[in-house]
Amino acid sequence: MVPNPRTQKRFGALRPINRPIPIQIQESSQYVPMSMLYNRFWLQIVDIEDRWRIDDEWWREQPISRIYFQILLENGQRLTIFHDLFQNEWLQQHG
Amino acid sequence: MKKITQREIRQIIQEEMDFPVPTVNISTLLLALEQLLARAFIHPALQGRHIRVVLLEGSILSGATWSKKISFRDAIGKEKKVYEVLKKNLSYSTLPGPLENIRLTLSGLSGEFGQQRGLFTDTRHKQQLKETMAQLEVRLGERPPIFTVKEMEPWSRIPERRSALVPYVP
Repeated sequence: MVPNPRTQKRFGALRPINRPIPIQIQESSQYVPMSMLYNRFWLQIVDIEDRWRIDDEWWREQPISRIYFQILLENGQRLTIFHDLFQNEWLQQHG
Repeated sequence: MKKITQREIRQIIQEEMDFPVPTVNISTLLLALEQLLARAFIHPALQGRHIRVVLLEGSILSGATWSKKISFRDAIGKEKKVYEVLKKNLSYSTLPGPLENIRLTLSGLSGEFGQQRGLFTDTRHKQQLKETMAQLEVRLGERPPIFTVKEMEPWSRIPERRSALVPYVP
């Protein structure tokens, strides 16, 4: 092993797809999503169909700690959103 | 009397890539190497030539570097063959830590060989695509933004880690 020279990188990268998109959520005191700003309108979340948690990449500076919700909006739209526990923000993601 | 010999020109070809997130995964490393090899093998200096040595170098998240040198018994002139050798070499390896990037250096270039054009349509299509992309590159002044979706860590619980866009190399 030799020390990393930390020289300027000048190369192209793999580009991840399906990156999470920040969203606005009104939540309960227990951090359960209640309504979501969707196409400029606040819509009620009428059902939470599934919920799961992911804790991973503990070795990174910003580890991953997310609680995912599969939600049903009052307009019938089904979405996957999550609460990023590390950044304390809400995001939407496919799959 | 000193004998006059032609100066040896040591030519190397280098391609590098950053990982979106540091990885300890050999499959991700192999996917990156596949891309780097594809890029390296379109390099004009490598056209019709064979290589003998591959050097892999990367930065580890902890600040150290990792490197691995692979020498071939017989020079190899085909990108897929080089990839297979790398795959065989790396399959049972473990990385000393999460890799932030990877650099591929091809060296030990052999002399020129005749290049035979393919008889098959698929090869001709690839050649046409290659030429179109080269023209686009000249017009745009940079590599055309054409990508292909590749599986990166399809088993990952983190959705954005499963696939990635990689620059398309015909």
